[in-house]
Amino acid sequence: MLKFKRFMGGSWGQRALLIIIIFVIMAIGERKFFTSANWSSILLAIAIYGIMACGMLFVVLIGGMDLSIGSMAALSGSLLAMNWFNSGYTTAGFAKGLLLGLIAGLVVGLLHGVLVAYLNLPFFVVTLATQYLIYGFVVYITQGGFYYPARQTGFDPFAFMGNAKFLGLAMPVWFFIIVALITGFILMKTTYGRRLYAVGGSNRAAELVGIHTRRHTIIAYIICSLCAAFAGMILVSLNMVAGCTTAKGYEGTVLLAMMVGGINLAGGEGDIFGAVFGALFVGILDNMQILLGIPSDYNKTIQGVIILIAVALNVYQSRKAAGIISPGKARRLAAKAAKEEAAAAGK
Amino acid sequence: MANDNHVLLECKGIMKQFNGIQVLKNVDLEVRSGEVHALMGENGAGKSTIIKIITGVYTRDGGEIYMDGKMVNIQTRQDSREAGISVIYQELSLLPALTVTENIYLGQEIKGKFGLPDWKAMRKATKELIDRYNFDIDPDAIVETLGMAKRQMVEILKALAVKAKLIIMDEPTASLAATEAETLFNTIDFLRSKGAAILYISHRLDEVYRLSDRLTVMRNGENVGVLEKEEIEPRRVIEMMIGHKLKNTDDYVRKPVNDANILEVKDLHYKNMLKGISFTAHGGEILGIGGLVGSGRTELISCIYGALKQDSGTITYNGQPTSHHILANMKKGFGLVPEDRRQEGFIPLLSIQQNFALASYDQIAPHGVVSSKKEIELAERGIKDYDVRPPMRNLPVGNLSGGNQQKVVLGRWLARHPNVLLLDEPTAGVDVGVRADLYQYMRELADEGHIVIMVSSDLAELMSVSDRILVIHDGVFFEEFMHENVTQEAILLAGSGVHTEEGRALC
Repeated sequence: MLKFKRFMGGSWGQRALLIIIIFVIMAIGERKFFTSANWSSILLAIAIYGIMACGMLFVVLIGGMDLSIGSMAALSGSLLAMNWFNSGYTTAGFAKGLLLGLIAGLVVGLLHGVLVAYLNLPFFVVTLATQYLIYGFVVYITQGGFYYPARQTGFDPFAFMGNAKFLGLAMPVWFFIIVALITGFILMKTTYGRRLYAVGGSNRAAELVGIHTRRHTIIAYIICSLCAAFAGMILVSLNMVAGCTTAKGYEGTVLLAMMVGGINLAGGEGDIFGAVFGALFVGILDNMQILLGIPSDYNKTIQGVIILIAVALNVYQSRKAAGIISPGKARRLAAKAAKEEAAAAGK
Repeated sequence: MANDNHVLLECKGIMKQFNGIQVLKNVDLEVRSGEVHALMGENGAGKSTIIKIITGVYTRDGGEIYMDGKMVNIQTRQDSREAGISVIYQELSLLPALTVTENIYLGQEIKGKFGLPDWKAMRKATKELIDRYNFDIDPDAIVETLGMAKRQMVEILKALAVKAKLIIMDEPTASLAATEAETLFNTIDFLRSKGAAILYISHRLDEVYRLSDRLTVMRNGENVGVLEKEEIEPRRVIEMMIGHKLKNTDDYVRKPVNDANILEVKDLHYKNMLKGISFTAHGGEILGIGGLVGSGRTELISCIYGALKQDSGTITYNGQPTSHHILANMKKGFGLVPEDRRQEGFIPLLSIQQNFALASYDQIAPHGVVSSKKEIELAERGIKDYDVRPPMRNLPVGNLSGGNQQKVVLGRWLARHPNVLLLDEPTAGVDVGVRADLYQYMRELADEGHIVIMVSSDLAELMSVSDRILVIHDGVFFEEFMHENVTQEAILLAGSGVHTEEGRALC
């Protein structure tokens, strides 16, 4: 019951309103929005963003950020497609690609974690640097080209990941549901997840109750990179193409999902519901832009405006909660108090 | 001009109240030119408030301020600066990336052609100032590269550059090492010889004896007397600060200690703060640790807890050396209630329930998966046992009052019945009603045979709560007091390095 209240009450009310407004615009603008074909494409976008958002949630909760997830997805996706293609479409080649993709995620996450937690480098710099580094590496291994694996007759594990359906839902959606459930379980029920909130809320206080803040940080970055790697492999399977432009710029969209989902980018605040909601929002937003025929040149503009609105709403709310008033209001109050004082002195 | 000793600053009948509480009651304060005038008093005596009124941070409710015999109406910081008053705060206000010259003239640049800052002129003026006062500072040095003592000199130069007549120093040695402090004292002596007036606020008696020509003592928002240099004597100053000899008068019954539970610290060294601390704490007693702020008390209990690593020396609990990992010590039953509750004690965004759970995951989540039932039980029991208000386990701790926040922080440990509970200023910012509760919880824990060690700057608390008090001075334990014969005066004297009759000398 409490969870339901938390979902509907407070800032959630505003977010629900936002979704409704979008729906209305869509309904007026484009009849196709409510068709089932359109919804399956929305759900696929949501699934990819959603899996990445689940990973990012861990890092954001401890007060960090990972800007390299787009490149990470391109790397793992390319590794999978390359191995599948180069092996002549054998299951062994597919398995090797899958394994290499996940190992790449593990290594990158470990690198982030060590640089941030042990060398105390700023996460922003570290993950921006690896974003370029990994991108460059993908260009190198793909020689700047793209892999278009052909559909195989019979069981095609590569196409299965992105295109098969189960109980009417596409596999990526199922993967997202599973990742979200696991994320929710870790964050709500395990000591590791609970302690992440403490680390993000106050690193020093967390240390003083015996939490290994560095270890928690490293694991969070590993989970984030692994999620990005997994999402990247699903994405190339979905599109049947892999290369350096795979998932390019997705980190921005995923961060937007975080902000819209009410996840505090300063750490310590946010939950799986916020990440799922954020993914829903950015997925629908993508679709809206396509359906309404908004030229893709404006995509970034719209995302930028939404980021500003989301941040302004968050800041406004936290100020209101903290009882901070605007400078103008403070001046008016001070003037009023001075007037009253003068009147009292006059008597 | 120098040493003419006319009255420079005169405050008459200064009044100030906050929320209906009169914090300054008719305070007179007089500083003469060419003197170092010390202002002393316990925490909350009103020292800072009067300084803030003189410097225009607060506006006074009543009274008059004169500079050089002329009445000045100080309402803002600007008024105060224009009257010739400069303050050097505990936290220095320099910009580390700028040079000495840039810092000194920041916001008051000498303008040259086209209104652009004339750095040459400023550098020359700085050089002249440094030469005149014989400071050992390079005007082009980047402030970041200077030590704390030099930075303080830059602050002083900043005051001199605007031709301040009165320099107020608020606990200037708080962040200085002993040798650096000596440099500062020499600077102060030199400034005095040049005719500058200095109002020196400190609670370190030794510094005050070393420096001051006259001394004003405040107590409960009143000026309780001015002493001339020859009248300044430790016991007398402390008597004036405290007012009357306070002794424990309750019908105290000393209980036997539990020798099966022993914490032993031997020859502990940490940086230049702890220089060979040795003591033994027994189960069943509340051991108080007194001493001045910054005397290394916090570092001592941090070393015991494992939050800091000592340079040398051993800490053993029941014969076993303690770990340098907090978690390992927690498993042995150690707990710490840190000084800075907001930064170190609790996680403001997390609920009461989650804050209680933080230290006890080993009990409520045996295999890494939290049992909601046990977690809720733990929180409900904690809220009930330690009377946390409001009793809502899902409320973020950041929204509670200071006292209730502390109940959560303390309760989190008490729920584990810790063998060794370390408390650092446990009642700072906690209202009187809640304090009594906290003391009772501490006593109950000690009565169970556990070790309770409490660091406190609140003398009344230290005296009434502790069975035994160790007072730190200059990095070692200086005197030991027993509950039955301790006085506030004696604790203060021992903390300043003066042996007393009440205590037992430890060095």
